[in-house]
Amino acid sequence: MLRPRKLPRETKLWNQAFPAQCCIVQSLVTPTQQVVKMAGILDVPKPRINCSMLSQHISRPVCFVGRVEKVHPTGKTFTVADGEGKIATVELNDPLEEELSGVVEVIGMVSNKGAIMATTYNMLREDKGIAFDLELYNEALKVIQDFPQHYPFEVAASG
Amino acid sequence: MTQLTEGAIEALSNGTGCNDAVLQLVNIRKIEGGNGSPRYRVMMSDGKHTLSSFMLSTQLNYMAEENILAPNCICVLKRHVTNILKDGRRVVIILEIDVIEPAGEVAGKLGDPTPYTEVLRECVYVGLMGCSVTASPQSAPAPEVRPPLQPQNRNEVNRGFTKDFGKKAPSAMPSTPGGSSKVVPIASLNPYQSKWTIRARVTNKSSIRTWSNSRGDGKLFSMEIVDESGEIRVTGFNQEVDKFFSLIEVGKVYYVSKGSLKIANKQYTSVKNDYEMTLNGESTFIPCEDSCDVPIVQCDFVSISDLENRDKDAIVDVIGVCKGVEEITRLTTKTNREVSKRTLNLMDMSGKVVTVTLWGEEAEKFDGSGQPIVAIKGAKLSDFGGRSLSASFSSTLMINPDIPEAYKLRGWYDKEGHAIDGQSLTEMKGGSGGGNTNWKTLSDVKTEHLGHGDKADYYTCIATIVYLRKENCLYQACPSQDCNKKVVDQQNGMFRCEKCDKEFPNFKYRLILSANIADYADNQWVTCFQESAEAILGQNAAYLGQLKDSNEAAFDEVFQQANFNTFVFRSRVKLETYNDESRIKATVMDVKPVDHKDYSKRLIMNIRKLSA
Repeated sequence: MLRPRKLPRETKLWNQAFPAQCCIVQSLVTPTQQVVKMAGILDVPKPRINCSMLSQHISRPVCFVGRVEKVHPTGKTFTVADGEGKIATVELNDPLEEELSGVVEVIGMVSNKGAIMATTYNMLREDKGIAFDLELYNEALKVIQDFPQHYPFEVAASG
Repeated sequence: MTQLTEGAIEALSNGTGCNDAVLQLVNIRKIEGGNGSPRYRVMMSDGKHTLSSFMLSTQLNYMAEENILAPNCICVLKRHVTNILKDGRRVVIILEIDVIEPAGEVAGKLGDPTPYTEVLRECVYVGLMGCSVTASPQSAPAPEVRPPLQPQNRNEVNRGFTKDFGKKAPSAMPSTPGGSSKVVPIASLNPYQSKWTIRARVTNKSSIRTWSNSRGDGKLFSMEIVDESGEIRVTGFNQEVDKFFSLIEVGKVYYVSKGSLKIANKQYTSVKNDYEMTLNGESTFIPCEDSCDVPIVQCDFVSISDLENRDKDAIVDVIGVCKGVEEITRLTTKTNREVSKRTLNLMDMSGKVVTVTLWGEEAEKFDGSGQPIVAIKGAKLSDFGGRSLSASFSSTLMINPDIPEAYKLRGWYDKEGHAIDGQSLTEMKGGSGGGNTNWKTLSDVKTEHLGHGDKADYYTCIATIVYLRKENCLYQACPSQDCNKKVVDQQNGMFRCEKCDKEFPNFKYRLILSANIADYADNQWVTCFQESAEAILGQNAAYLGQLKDSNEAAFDEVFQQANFNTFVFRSRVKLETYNDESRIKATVMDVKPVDHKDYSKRLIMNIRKLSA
């Protein structure tokens, strides 16, 4: 199992205190890696957010998981609903080349207007296995947000 | 300050007491009486006298248990009956009582009451004197109060008192045809009193059942009878079967007297009464024409949605619309008896559906066409497939019963209920297994010393296989169907099973797999038998046995593949001692794949709980 860097002290404490609990929620954060100067968006850490957290992440890379609602006829923008049913807009550089539906994971920067300027996206297949539970995912996001001391993602990203 | 009804004790003691007397409770005492529920003996005061021969009827026991009735509280005696014991003592059975001033709000004992016992004895004495003149003058009672010995004597005594009863009877009950004793409510019946008549409706009559065992054979039938105060089960044996079975009709009202009362065996009955009645040679059943005020059936319907909160094996009354019926099936019981079985789905106004199983004759004749209203009195709640109900022989099944609940339900169903899909309690499977799953981490198992008690402990954990001991994981077992005993290789092509005491030309492979499982904090050695080991290895025992004998590399590969898989383990732990050495033995009962959704939900819930 690859572990890129030593876990911060807080994480270790948290692991000791609530180890089973943290493993799942940690796995929801894309792997923390050290920020590399001039690195592409794919290489930097991206916090997972929902719609209500967009405004706090303007001009920052994020990872957003939501259900595709409406795709614009141009194919260059579409809307997604998060686990709370709130809508966000995703804008693409290039028009879509495939039909988009179901749950997608979008990686991109948040614009000043709060839209997600997508670099890439990934459709989560629902046809095999258990359907993705967006509401449950949203609950996990809230846990990460409510206990930043135990999920020291921000510290790692900025430090 | 509430005024006590002065003189009420005197009136109650000599049988002329009326209801609604305001009394102060002086003392309350629990009487442990062998089996059955405890009784409470109460001492009451009217400010002038105290009397300690009050008994709380068992359905009011909760008032004592919940300390509603406590010394010094002031109560209104709403309903009571007076019983005369064999020794002539009078006991006032409290059927209904209201506390008007709780104990805490009363300063202390009101007035300076004196015990009334002396006067009571005099009263009994006078009664005896009176009767001895009419019944048996030659057996004049001794000066001291002695209970009369001959039953006919006692009858007379009681009759003397019964006149008094008439004046203070709780309500204008119709008198019995014989006029010999007063009609009393079923709720007041008890084994200490033999002279009574009840007026009750037969709601259920069993068929005649016969038994035959080492002590002989016989037959019996039972029925349930109700009045407005309650219900009781009545059983007749042998001669009483011949005498009463054909005469008694379900739905009719009878005056019943002279049955023997005993503590009810709750195992066989769902009737809500601490006692049950057995018919004897003196018992009488007299039809009652004027019966409209006697209730038809006493049901305490439980909403289907509430069944989830009831305990397994609880006996409940339910009413619902029969949404669907399945075809009848036949199965053979352990005793080689063939029984018919039919399941139906009932829905009520809660929108929940429950599956009910009918057995035997009831299953055979049930007609579910037209979605009838089905009421079941005394169905047994089971946790089979979530929650389901079973109608046993003591249950009463009623189709479209003539009761208000049925009409209400029919109205609801025809108007809106038919459109509701109905969520079934019965098909809910898997998931977290309800609230009774004992989730533990492997370190909890150690720190909480699970298995160290007298009984084995069961727990469920999520853990990963870190090591499987492939040595000796298969053994040669007896090939008979239900015998899994290890066979002895006779080295002559035959295998001997000690348990079956037979030799076989073959054997079957069975698994007994030692595994080390780990979670984030600890690990544990567990033993997995056949099914759980097969689930972990992903192969069946027969195939593994074949591989072991033919292809060692492939056999090893199976074990390699099984490593580091994560499962939900349900295990049993118990401290076991071999050669003076005690250690915890953990046996896996069940292995299931991890339901990640369920797992995440539980983790989030636990995090929220920890931070609350």
